[in-house]
Amino acid sequence: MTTNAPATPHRVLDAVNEGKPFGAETYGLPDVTDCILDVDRFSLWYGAAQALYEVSMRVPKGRVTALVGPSGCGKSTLLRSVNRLNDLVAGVRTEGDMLLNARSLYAPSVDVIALRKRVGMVFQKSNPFPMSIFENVVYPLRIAGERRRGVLKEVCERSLRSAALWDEVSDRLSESALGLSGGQQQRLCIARAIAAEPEVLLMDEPCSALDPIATARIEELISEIAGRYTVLIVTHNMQQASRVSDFTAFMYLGRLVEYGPTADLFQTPRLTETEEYVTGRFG
Amino acid sequence: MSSDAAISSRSTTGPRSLGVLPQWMMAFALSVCAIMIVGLLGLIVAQGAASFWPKPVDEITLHDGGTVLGIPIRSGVNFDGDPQTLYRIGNRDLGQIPFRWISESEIESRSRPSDVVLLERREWGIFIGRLAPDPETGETTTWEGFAGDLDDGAQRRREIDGLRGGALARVNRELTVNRQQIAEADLRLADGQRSGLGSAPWVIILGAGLLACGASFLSFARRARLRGALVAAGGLLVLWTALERPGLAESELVEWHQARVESLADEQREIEQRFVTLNERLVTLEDADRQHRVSVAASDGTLAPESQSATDRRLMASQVIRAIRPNAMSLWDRFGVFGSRWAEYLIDDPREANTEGGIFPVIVGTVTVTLLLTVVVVPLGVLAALYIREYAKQGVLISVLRVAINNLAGVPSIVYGIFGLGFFCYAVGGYIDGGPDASVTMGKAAWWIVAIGCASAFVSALLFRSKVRAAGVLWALGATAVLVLFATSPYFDGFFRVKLLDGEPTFGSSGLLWASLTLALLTLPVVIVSTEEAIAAVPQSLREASYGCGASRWQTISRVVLPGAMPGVMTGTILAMARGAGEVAPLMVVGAVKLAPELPIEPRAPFVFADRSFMHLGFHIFDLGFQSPDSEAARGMVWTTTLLLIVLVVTMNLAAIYLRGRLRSRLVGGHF
Repeated sequence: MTTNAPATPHRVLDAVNEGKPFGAETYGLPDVTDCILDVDRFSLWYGAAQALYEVSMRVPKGRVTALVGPSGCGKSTLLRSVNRLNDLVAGVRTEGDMLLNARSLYAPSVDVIALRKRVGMVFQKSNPFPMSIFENVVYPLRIAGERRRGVLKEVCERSLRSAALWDEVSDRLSESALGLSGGQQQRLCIARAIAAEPEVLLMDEPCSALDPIATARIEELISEIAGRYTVLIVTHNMQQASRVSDFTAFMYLGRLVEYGPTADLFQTPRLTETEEYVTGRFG
Repeated sequence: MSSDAAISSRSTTGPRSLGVLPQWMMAFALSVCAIMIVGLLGLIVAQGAASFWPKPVDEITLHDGGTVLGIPIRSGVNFDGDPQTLYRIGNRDLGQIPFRWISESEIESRSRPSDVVLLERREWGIFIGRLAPDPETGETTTWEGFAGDLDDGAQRRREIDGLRGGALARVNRELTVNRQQIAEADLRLADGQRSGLGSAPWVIILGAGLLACGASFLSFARRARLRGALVAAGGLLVLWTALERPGLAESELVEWHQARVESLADEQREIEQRFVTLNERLVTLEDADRQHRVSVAASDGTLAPESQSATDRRLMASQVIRAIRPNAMSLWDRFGVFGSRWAEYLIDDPREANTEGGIFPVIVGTVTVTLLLTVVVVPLGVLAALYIREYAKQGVLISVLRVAINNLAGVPSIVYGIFGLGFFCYAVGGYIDGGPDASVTMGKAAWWIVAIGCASAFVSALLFRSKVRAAGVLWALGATAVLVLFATSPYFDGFFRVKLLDGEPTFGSSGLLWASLTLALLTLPVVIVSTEEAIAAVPQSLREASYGCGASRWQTISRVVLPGAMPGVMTGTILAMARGAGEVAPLMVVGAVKLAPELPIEPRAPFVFADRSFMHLGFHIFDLGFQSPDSEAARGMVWTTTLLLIVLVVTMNLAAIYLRGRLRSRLVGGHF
């Protein structure tokens, strides 16, 4: 069978069951030159269990790309591989490579700490430090050794404005960040992630612990910052993916299954699995 | 129907049928605990507070015509079943036993005459009597005049004590230093060409060695292997030049010695001159003081003597610390005496084998040793816990280590004491005093071979650092070799050899430093365990957030993990301090003494005298209760000292709990 043929039922499942390699259905992406991150046949194991199978995908620069798929399909693992946060987990092994601006992330000479400064991350559960709001936002600068008060203040204000939080907290920057509401905390984490001007912003289900109003604000925020940063967002929420993202990648069983412009993927999915998932028949 | 029956029968025989009984049992257990704790604390507080309350004095007329003046202490029954009372009658210098049981059948009558006087004296305990006529003039002073005499005496005594403890003590110290300098010069002459190092060069070499280690570590981090080898070679060269520097020629040495000894002898004569002057002044003062005597007669008319062996001389005014008329005092006066006794207790030195006077040096010793142990144990424990949690690979080795640490907490504390005495006092302290023992000192050639081997091990570790296992072994070998080099150095004679040759160890015997280190070792498991738990409780999501921002491991630990674990660290510190402050057994062998002549901290450099013995509240309680010549007289002091120890521990705990609360509220939210 060829990739251009009409979707046959459950092509991925069949391939997995028969143990055959499987190429993802990828279409409608910008040129390689417009892509900032290039995942090249990337596989990952937690001890003996394989979590990612030769995932290859290009992430367009300055756009929002959503990773969707059922629980355990490896989308968070893929996301955490981009800033090598999986290095912290004991027993992780990888194969293949990722290229950020055509430079390898997994070569032995890579400075992981410098890499993480270029790739910001927002987590599923908001995790502000038990410090003041100000110190939370400027944390990336502090650890980079920035001491000039003026610079710190400027970055703090700019980041908080970008995260649409400035108006709410500008008069209490020295108060503990833990006194903020859940939605505010998550926006604070976004402000912290963009304080260091990262090239890529990773978001791991940033709204899953928030109420609808807070979710709407975050989504708005993502759309606002989309032009300035490349956003790679993992989400469980199909509506959210269709609202905020320009491109969507559907992952299933540790494999990239279908990847294309969001509108196309949601309206005319080419694979049966994708269709079943986006229409809510499983997952 | 049958299933219903089964359910109901189970409900009457099963655990649920116990009903409220378990709750009652728990309540009972809690009540027993509460009663024991509150009872013990209440007893200590009540007895401790009452010890210094001025009690009335009874005058007892006996059937045989004698009279006794005494403070009723407690009642009992004698062998014949007669009720009897224990009286504190004092007047030990008149040959009386200071406590006496008097049975009711002996007593003719009892009264509380208001003219009875109770004297607290520097020596010989209390004296109970009445003001008596002066044998020379035949006049009896009034109470006011008597009190005035005593005030003047106290003034003179302060002057004498000030001279003795101040200027005279300083001159004595200067004399000791002078004598040691002469001995040192003699020693250098006797050593001749031997290039034994004085302490100053040795310290410099030690510092240079540490610097070299630091530099090689830096170059290790910056991947300049060659620099490591160069630093090692350079360090060895510097070491060799310093150690093998040519000494003075023999004639020069003799000349130097003669000049040195002569100048020191001049100095000595000058100091001795000052000593004689000061001593003359002291004698004059003391002679003047002896002119002022007071007349207080016991119930049989005998006047209070200067001492037991000098009964023909009356008591000197300056020998009396406090005089009261216990039967003629208002409640207000009693509170005044009560307060002044507490003040004396808290700020004075002990007298009369610790059974009287104050316990100021004991408080100072306890606080000093507790603070020192905290300063040692907290960084050590926290660093160890951080390594176990944040760096070490969790495996069998770490599990074994954790079990070992937990078990350390169960080792009897006297074992720590004995270890401290053997290792810290004798091994380490002996090394500091006199250098390595002659039996282990290496020859110079052998020492240099080990030194070169050690340097090569470090350099090879740098070269092979990619092969982690081999490099680790080499680092370990190098570190061991460094220890061996220090322990067996033929170049080091100790920092305090002169004193040691005088038969006087400095660090080679028990003292403050070794006691603190021993207690630190004892309380280490507490700090490690509580810190480890606190570190484990810091959410992984915070670590990830920090790493996600590009923080290194150390930045994450120092900015996120450690601040988050701070309340737990404080808890460990509190527990360690409380345990250390209340410990007695190990202190008995590593530094606490019955009576320390000098405080371990003084307002002159180096401020903390780590080699000195000290007094400690826990040991003091033991000493008062079981080692004192008159346990009845020490009874009150045992209660007050116990009270004080508990107050001290509670105060330290409260302070630490307050600190912990503040840290916690910072972590939970609110203002900074």
